[in-house]
Amino acid sequence: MIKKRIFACLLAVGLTAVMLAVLSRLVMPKYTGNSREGNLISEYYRAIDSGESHDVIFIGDCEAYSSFSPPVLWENYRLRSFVRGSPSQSIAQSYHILCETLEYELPRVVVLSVYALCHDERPSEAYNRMTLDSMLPSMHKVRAVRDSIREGESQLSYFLPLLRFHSRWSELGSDDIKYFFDSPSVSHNGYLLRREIEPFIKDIAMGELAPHALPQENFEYLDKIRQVCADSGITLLLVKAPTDSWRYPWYEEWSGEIRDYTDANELEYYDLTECIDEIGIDPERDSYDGGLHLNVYGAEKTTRFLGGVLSRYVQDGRIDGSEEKIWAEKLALYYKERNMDG
Amino acid sequence: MTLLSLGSFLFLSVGAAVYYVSPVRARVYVLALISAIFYLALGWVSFVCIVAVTLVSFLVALRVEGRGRTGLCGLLCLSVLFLVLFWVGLRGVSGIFGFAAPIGISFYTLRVISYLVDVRRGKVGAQRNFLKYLLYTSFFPIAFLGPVVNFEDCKKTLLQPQKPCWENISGGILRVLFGVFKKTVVADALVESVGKISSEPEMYFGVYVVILIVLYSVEVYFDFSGGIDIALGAAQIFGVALPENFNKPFSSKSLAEFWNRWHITLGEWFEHYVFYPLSLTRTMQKLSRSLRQRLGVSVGKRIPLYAATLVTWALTGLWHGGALHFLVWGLVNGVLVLLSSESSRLLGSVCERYPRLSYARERMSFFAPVRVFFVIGAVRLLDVYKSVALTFGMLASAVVRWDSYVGIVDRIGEMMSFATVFPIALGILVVFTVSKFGIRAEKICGRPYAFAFCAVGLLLSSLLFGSYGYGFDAADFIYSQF
Repeated sequence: MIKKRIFACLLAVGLTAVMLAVLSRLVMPKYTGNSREGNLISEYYRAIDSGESHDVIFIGDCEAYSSFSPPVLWENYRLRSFVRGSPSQSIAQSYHILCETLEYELPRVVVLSVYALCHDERPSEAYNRMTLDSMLPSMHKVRAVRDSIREGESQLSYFLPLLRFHSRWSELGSDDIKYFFDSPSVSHNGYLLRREIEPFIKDIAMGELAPHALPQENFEYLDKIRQVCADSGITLLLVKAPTDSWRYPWYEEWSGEIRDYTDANELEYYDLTECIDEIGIDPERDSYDGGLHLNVYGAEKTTRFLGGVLSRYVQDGRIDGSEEKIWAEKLALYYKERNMDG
Repeated sequence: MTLLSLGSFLFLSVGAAVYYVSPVRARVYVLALISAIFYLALGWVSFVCIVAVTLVSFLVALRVEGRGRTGLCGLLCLSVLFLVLFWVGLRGVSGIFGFAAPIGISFYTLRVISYLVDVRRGKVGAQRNFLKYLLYTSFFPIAFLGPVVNFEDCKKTLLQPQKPCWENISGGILRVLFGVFKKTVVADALVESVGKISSEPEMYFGVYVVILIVLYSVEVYFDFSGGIDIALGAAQIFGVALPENFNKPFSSKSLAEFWNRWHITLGEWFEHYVFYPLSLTRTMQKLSRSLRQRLGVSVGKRIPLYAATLVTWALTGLWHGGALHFLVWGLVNGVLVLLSSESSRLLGSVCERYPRLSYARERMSFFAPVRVFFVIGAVRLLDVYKSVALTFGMLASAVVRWDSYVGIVDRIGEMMSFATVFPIALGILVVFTVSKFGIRAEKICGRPYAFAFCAVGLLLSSLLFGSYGYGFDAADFIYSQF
C-alpha cells in the first residue's frame, strides 16, 4: 500500500507538471493576425536549432525589426544576421537577450538600435509579454523578467503562463491548436516585412518640447552591453534608424548624449536620421505608418547603407554550401513576400 | 500574505514538513512557533496583539481557576476582550482608531473569551503551558476565517503531537484544493456581476435585486465555505481535527434550521456564551416569573426568551461589523427566526385540526428551502448595499417594479457571458455532486490513484477556470474582514 501511495503521489506530481505545461502552451496567445510581433523572439531558437550561425546580431525595439533586413544584408554583403528585436524592447531586455544569445553563438558584431534609450519607464505588460513570454526558460529570462515587470505583475506567470492567460480558455481558436507545438513563422530572420505605404507626416503643429535627459538607468544597461561585447571580443555598434515621427520624436540632444558616451568609450554610433538623404529614404514611400517605422522599401535602403559599415568588421567569413543553400531559400521567401500582390 | 496566496501555500507546505520532521515531543511547540511566525509575517501589529491577548488571558485563567467566582481580574479581562471585539466592529468606521484591525482578532478573541468562561465554569482546566495555550489562540490555519473553536475542541488533536498519517495529509490536501476550487472558480467569478448590480442601484432594480440575491448568496456560500475548507484542510494536514462550519445550509426548511447549518461554530459560540448566560441570569429569571404572573405563562416565558434572542442576534450582527446595517442585519434575522418559529408552531396547531391542510403543508415543504434561500438572501443584501434604507428600498422595487421583469433572460445574458457562467455552473455541479452523493475525502484517499486524479483535477480546474491574477480584482475572502 505504501508503494501504491508513493506511486500515486509521483503520478500526481508528474501529471500536474505535464498538464501545466500543456495548458500553459494552449492558452498562451499565438500572436497571429495583427500582433505577429509577439512571435519574433521565439524565431531565433528555431534558427539556432536548424544550425544557423550569424555574423551580426541586431537587438532593440521595433526600430530594430522594422529597419534592418537580414535577407538584404546577405544578398548585398553575404553577411549572416538575425534581428532579436521585439516591440518596445527595453535596454534592460536587450542586455539580457544579448547575454542569452551569447550562450548560443558568438557573433562578430552586435548592432544596438538605440531608440529604447529614451524610454523613462518600464514597458507595459502587453509589450513585456511579447518579449519575455517567448524566451526559453533560463537565468537570463529570470533576470529579464525581474528587470522588466511593473507593479502588480507576477514573475511566476512568465514561467507559468497559465497563471496569466487562463481566462483565454473561452477564446481558444484553431490557431491555438495549429500553433501548439511551434509558433507561426512571421519574420525573415527577425525582420518583420511590411509593404504598406503611409508617407512621413510632416508639418504637424506641435510645440517644441524640451526632451528629458536620457535615463541614467538605461546608460547602466548600455554599459553592461558594452562590457559583455568587450569581454567577448564583439564589435558593438549603436544605430538610430532613419525614422522621423512627430508622435515619437528623436531629439538632437539625445543623439548628443549618446555620442558623448560612445566617444568616451570608443564606440561607433550612427545616427541615420542625419543620413536620410544619403540613404535615399523617400518620405512618400518608405514608411508604413507616417514615419514612425520603415516599411520594406525603407528597410532595404537602410540595410544596404548600414551593410557597407558592417562589412568592414566582418571580412573573412567562411560560408559552406549548406548555408548558401539555406540563405538562398531565405532570400527567395523574402522576395516572394515582398513582391506579393495585394 | 492572504489565505489564498502562493506564500500561504508555501508556508503551509514548509510548515507541515518542519512539523513532521521534528521530534514527536517537540511537535506541539514547533507548531506554536510556526503559528507565531505566521502572525509575524502578517505584521508586527497582528503579532503583538495576539501575543498580548494570549499572555494576559493565560495569566487571568490561572488566577480565576477554581476560585468559584470570576473576580475583578477576570471581569476586567473579559470586559477588555468584549471591548476589543466591539472596537474591531467599529473599525468599519475608518479614521477613528487610525489603523486596520489586526488580522484574525475577531476569531481569536472569541476563542479566548470561551476559554476564560470555560475555565471559570470548571468545564476545562487552565492550561499551564504557555506555548500550548499560544498554539490554541494562534493556530494559523484558522486565523482568517475560523472556525470558532473552543478549548475542549482542541485538546485532543491540536494540543497533542500528531504522527504523519496518509489519511490526514492526503485528506487535508484534497480539502484545501476543494476550497480553492470553490473560491476561485465560483465565488470570485461572481464578484464582478455582484459588484456591477449593487454599485448602480438606480439602474439595476426590480428583477436585478432578485438576481442579486441569488448571485450574492451563492458567492458568500462558496467564498466562506471554500475558505473554511482550506482552513480545515490545512489543519487536517497537521493531524488536527476541527468542527465543521457548514452542513448543507441550502437544504434547510426553516430559518432556525438554516442558522444551525450555516457558520455553525459562530452560532454555537453565541448560543453558549451569550444566549444561555443571558437567558439564565437572575434578572431574566425574575423577569420571566413576573411576566408569567401578569401576562400568563405563554407570554411570560416568551418575552425573556425573545429578548435574549434579539440581544444575541444584535451582538452577532455587530461582530460582523460596527455599522448600522450589520446591527439591523442581526436584529432582522433574530426577528425572522422568532417569527418563523412562532408561525411554524401556529401552523402546526392549525394543521392538527384540519388534516387536509397538513397534507398541503407537507407538499409545500418541498419549496421550503427555496423560501429560506430567498429570505436569508434578501436580508443579506444589507451587507451588499451597506445601507438599511437602500436595501429595503431595493427589496420593495423587486416586488413593485414588474416592468423590470420583462426580458429577464436577455438581461441575465447581457450581464454574464459564457466565460463567466460555465465555470460557475461547473463549480456548482461539482459541489452539488459531492454533497448529494456524500463523497467524502476519506473515501477518495482510501484509493491512492483516485486521490491523485481528484487532486490534479481540482488544482488544474482552479488554475484554468478560476478568477484570479493580474487583471482580476478577485475579492479577498469576504469573511476575512471580520
